[in-house]
Amino acid sequence: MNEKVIDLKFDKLDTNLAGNRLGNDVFAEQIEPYLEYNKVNIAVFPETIEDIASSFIEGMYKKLGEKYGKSKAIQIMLLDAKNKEAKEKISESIETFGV
Amino acid sequence: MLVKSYKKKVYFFANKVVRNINTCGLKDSLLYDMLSGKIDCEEYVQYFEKANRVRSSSFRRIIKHDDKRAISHLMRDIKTFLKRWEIEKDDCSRISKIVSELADNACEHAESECFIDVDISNIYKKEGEDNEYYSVNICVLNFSDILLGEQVKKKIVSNQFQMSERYEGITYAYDSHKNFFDNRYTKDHFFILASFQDEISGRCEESNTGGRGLTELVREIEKCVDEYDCYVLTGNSVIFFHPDCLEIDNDGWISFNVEKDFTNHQPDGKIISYSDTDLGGTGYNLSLIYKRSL
Repeated sequence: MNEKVIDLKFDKLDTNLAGNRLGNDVFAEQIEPYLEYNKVNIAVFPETIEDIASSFIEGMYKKLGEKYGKSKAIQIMLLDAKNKEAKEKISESIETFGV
Repeated sequence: MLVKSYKKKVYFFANKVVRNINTCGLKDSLLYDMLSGKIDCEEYVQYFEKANRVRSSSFRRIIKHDDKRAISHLMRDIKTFLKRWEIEKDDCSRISKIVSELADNACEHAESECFIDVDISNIYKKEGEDNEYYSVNICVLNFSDILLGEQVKKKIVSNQFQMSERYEGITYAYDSHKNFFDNRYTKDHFFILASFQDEISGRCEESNTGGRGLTELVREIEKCVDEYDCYVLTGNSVIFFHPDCLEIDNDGWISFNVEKDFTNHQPDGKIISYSDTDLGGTGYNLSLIYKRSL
């Protein structure tokens, strides 16, 4: 399946991301308007983001999860990061807690 | 508020506070400054209202519930504070996440501002041991009419959720636990415990997702700390987190008992308690004790 990459943007002072509501807002503002449902959408965190709490990830998947179910939500949107540590944290979070 | 808005005199009593690994942070508190005469009541109010305060071994912040970015900044700043003490990088990350998750919960579910206090103890030794230990003592406090467990209770009791395996399970567990309720273990306690369960959320619009934050708290507490002394007080209800009662049972619930069966057995007596004083909100008190790397 084709991929659609969505590069996320944050303030320079934001090196850590936490909070369900913020995750929800980032999804609504930076991802949802650009989703293509016939592709695998990959939202990419910039290099400046070093750590991401699971509450933030949960917030990002909230709307998709409620509408399509958790398994389908992960198929529609994947998360990736340019920062190696953040990338590991995303995998760990989704593996441990799901969405 | 009592002093500033209602012009009341407030007297503070502390009965038999023993200085130990859990309580040493009191010396950095504004209350201690006032009791020892360093500041007066008006100065107490003035300093208390400052949103941020960082001292050599203590970190304090007040977060407004509608400031969504504040939780991320809190996570970043707690890590920065902890890095000054030789705390392992992964532990700094875990602690900052625990604090930010609890603060996020408070701001979102209780719809109130949140007070955070983190202090690092001096080094202590256990009797008969050469190992050194220190404690990271955390308080996350909010004052609100919405207590921990209330929103989950409302959801379950009035069936305000889409049917899912997890919510069916909690409803079944509630019916089972009704047989255990008495003067000590109440319905309120049950719904506090339910709030900690994976995939159970107090958010009205969520039935298929959510319910991670408090579960993560419990799991993170278990990792890499040598010992811990943690409890939550909400209203009059107290839940103590005891290691032998936090195992996940066969149905994926945190058991809260030594039988390792959340649904069919009541929570262990030692984790349930009651406070004569109604907190008027929810307060987490976590003491995470680490062995110092040599």
